[in-house]
Amino acid sequence: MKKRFIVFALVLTMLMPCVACLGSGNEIDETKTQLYVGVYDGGLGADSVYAMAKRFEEKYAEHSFEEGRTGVQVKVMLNTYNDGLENTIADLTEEVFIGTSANANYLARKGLLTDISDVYDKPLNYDFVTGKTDASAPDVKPKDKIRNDLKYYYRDDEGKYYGFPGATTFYGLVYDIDLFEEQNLYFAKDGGFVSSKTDARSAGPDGNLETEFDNGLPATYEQFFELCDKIVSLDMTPVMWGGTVQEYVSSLLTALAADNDGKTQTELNYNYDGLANTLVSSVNGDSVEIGASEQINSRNGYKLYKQEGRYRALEFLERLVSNPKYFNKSDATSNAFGNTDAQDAFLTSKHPEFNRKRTAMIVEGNWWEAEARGTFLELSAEYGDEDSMETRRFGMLPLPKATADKVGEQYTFLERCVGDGFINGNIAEYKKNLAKSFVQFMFTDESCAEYLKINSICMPIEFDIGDEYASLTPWGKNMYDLKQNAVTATMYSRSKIMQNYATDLWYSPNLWLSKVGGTTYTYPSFAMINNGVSAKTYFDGLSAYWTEDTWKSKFTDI
Amino acid sequence: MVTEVKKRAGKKRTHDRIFFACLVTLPLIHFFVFYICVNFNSILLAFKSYNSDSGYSWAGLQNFKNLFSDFGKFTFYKKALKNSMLVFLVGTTVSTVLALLFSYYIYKKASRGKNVFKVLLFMPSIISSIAMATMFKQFADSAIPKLIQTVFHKEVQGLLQNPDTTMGAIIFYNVWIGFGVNILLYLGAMNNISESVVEAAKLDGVTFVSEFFKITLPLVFGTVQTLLVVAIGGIFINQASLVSFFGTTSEEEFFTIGYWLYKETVKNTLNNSNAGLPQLSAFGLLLTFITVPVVYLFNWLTKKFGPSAE
Amino acid sequence: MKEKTKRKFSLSPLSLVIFVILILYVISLLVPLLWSLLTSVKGRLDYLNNPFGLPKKWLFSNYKTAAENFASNISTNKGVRTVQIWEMLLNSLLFSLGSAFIGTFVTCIMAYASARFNFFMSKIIYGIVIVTMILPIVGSLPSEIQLVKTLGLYDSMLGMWLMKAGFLGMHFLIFYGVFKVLPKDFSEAAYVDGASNLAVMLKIILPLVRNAFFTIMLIKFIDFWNDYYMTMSFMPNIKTLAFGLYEYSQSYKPAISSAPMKLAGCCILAVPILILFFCFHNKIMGNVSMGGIKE
Repeated sequence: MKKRFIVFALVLTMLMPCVACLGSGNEIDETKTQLYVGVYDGGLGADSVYAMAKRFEEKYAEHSFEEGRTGVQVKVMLNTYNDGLENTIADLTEEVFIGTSANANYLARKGLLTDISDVYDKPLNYDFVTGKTDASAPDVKPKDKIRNDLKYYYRDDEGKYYGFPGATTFYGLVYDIDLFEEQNLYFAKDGGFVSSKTDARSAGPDGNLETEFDNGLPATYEQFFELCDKIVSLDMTPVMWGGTVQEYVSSLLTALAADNDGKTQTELNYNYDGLANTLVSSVNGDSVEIGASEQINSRNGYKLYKQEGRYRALEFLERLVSNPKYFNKSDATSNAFGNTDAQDAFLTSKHPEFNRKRTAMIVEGNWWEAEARGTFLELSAEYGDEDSMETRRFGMLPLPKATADKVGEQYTFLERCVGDGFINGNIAEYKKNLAKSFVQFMFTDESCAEYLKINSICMPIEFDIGDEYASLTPWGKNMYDLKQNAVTATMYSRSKIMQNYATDLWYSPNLWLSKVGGTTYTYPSFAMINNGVSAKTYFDGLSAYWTEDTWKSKFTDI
Repeated sequence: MVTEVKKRAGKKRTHDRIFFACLVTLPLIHFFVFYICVNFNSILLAFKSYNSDSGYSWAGLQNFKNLFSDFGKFTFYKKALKNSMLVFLVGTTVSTVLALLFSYYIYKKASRGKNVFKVLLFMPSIISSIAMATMFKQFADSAIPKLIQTVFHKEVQGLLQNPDTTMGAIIFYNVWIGFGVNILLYLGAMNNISESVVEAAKLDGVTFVSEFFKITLPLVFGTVQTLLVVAIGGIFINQASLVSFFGTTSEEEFFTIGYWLYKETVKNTLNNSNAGLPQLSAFGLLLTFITVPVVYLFNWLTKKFGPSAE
Repeated sequence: MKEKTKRKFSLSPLSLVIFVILILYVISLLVPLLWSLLTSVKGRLDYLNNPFGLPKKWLFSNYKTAAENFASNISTNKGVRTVQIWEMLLNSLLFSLGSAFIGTFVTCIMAYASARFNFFMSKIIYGIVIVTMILPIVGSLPSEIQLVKTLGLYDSMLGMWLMKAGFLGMHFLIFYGVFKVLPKDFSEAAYVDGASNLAVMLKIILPLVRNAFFTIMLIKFIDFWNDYYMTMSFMPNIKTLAFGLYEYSQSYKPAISSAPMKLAGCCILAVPILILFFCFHNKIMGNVSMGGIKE
């Protein structure tokens, strides 16, 4: 017995130095004042925060915030700040939070956050630390730079602000630009596909030749599946997704619906205030009968499940899954094939030794490159620069229109700004202005451009990119182009449902619950692939599920 | 003389009382503080309703009424009930029988391989469930289809992805990983069987099979019964590892009651809305009212009709 | 004597069937385990184009990378400090051993009291265990955290031990079962000799249930070892390995985002407990020579 204890203790003590030699860093600089910034430890990482922190530290290098210390050290901490924050925030060292998955408005209602109204109201050339205004710098206010809908979302009933938004995210189809060029997968101006790189391309779904980035891409569903046929004929796979993330497909459907219904109609799903005029009365194949318009309020929101966009989106999916060659059927339903597996497969399909058909498109969110960074790094280490994130070109496919008559309309993107930021209510008084200054710093053009450059996605803040455009990654350029050319539908409103049930509304699976016969389906993709449910049946099932009763039982307090 | 014995017995009784009180007081205080104080409000929720403006208010039995009308309206209750029963009946039967047989085999036979078997069988309980689920997913949904494709040149869906085999695969998984602790307990009980009993039986010429039924099973039946009580108590709490496979968004077809309760609770807390909690709490109470009598009935029945050690 | 019985039994067809099933089951456990071990030393690309074969290059450095990436920040009253993996290991041991011992001890005493003494309260205690085992509790975490904070037990190892000193759960029932079938002769004899209740419990009964005690302590130990949720909620600044693994598995850092690296992380959590298990399995798993009512 004793022997065993000794053996066990020996093994442990042998293990310890192995790992202990990794060193224990305690990188607190005692000569400076620390500002603790908590950043959500997710796909994006914190590189942009580190970059911004460095510039911020330089700005106040000579300023003393407390006795005996000069300058500031921004100490970035990574964590999964989630709903549990409500219970722990008062005990945490972190003073500023960025991109958390907690709800700022909720925490503010509980009195746990610092009021940052003056950050929104004071111009950017006002310095919170010194109290001085620099007349030579631009005097625009953050509240005029931030997107309007978000401004209203974060402003409470008394007109105070506590939270600020994180990155703008949306789902769609990511396509491999290199492959499209190499295989001439673009539509030609005069019909059919281009036959060389220099051929003139069609105008794309926005019907405008001048906006180059969508030229040659499929304008309608019809063209999209023509494209799929062409890709299949090259013995490649048109579309793929991860089997464990069916909600990505649901989110793609939500995006398609939004693009079809347009901004006003889409936003009804989040503000519950307005006239719905795309409600379907009957469906017969491709022809859709629109019924009478209805005034929508928070009590009859279930009626929106008849919106035409939803049917069109389902129609798209029905056609996509009707041909098993159009998508990676086996992996797309596999429980062992997640979103990062799909990214890896998508990226490596370029090389034949990975035994995968080359894949042209993947259902993903706009942040996917950040998640796939590790794979990019290892691929470029193995195959050279050709495979690096900076060289390989991908874009978010502007979604095709359901019918030809919609071609020419601007795209509508349904965006969600993930990751609320805020200042801890439990912050030392002498650090308050420092923290505010840091938040204000995030709103500067410089920081926004830097953010886009590093993360390749935009903040929901208006900014001028200036000369930095050229230095963006191919993906970053694509994001910027889209932002400039699309209408953004927003999920943010002060409606009670939005404020209290945000997760239900943001999280796509709940938007596609459908009752067909005795079964309720969560995922249209599963219902169609596994159970052969048609778009029409699924669409009718949406209204069968979302009845007045269901609505009442989901949102009990409206 | 009789009074003397009575007196002594009475004195003993008083001593017992004091001793008993000493033993149970602290744990009961602990129970009061860490269970009653903490959960009292959660249980009361069953009789309240929530409004995001005014918070909780008294609602009497309204939640229960809503619940009963929901049973008719939503199809998943019936499916979840069916799946919960299926997981319980098939899962418990198979794993109890197998665990007993394996333990018996190791107890009787595997003299040299004994330790190896014990360690291996306990493996799934040691390794964290995240890791086990990941391995099983890879195996069922990636390795098996690939294997079949290589051998039979036929494209098939994985066990978890094909809706016809999903529930079977889930039950299999639960049995597969659920043994270790049971075997440990059965083995412990079997090793406690007095050798004189076994020796005596040997002289009567028992066989491998008859020893199991005549001696081993009756003597470890207490353990079997306890584990069955635990299984019955868990019928409506068991989420059957669904969270490991589907997160909180499984298709309704595969719901169990425990899974539904779990995922709805998570959803409500994530929302910070709390509006759904009262109804969930009511459902939980209702299930408890059903299960507790069943457990006591089971206890009574096994005491009356189960094999006894005599 | 033993050898003889063996030969006699080995002809039974039933035992053969059980043996075959047992072997199949063991193989089904070994295959994924070996697969995980193999995968954990593969490179990302190697894994992608060859998920089932042997690694092209055996990257044992994966484990070093994984260990380095377990490091995580905590708040202290002096600011922020980085916790390395060995400190997590120590915390895990302290937390799991302490909680497992206290929890098992309390459960054992409670079960003894209610199984051996025929008072009304005994039945109540049994009832409490049954009801609390069945009753699903929704959304009580905030009030639990509140309570722990009020009592000053938040973020402290001692506090966690105290929280775990309860008797609820299935382990009570197991002890209860053990005490119920324990023949009364032993204690009766001692009582006649004038031994006190305490002496009977400590000197006679507890040694008899050593096996069960260690078994349950092991089960509890493993539960606590793998539990990240409790430590995350109640002692966020005393990081355990399981908590470390949770953060690790959630991370998208390029260096550790591949499947092999994630599996390497899982293995790190499992290794200490496997060592412990191999060292003590005889003691813990009721070997014939240990404890029990043997003659």
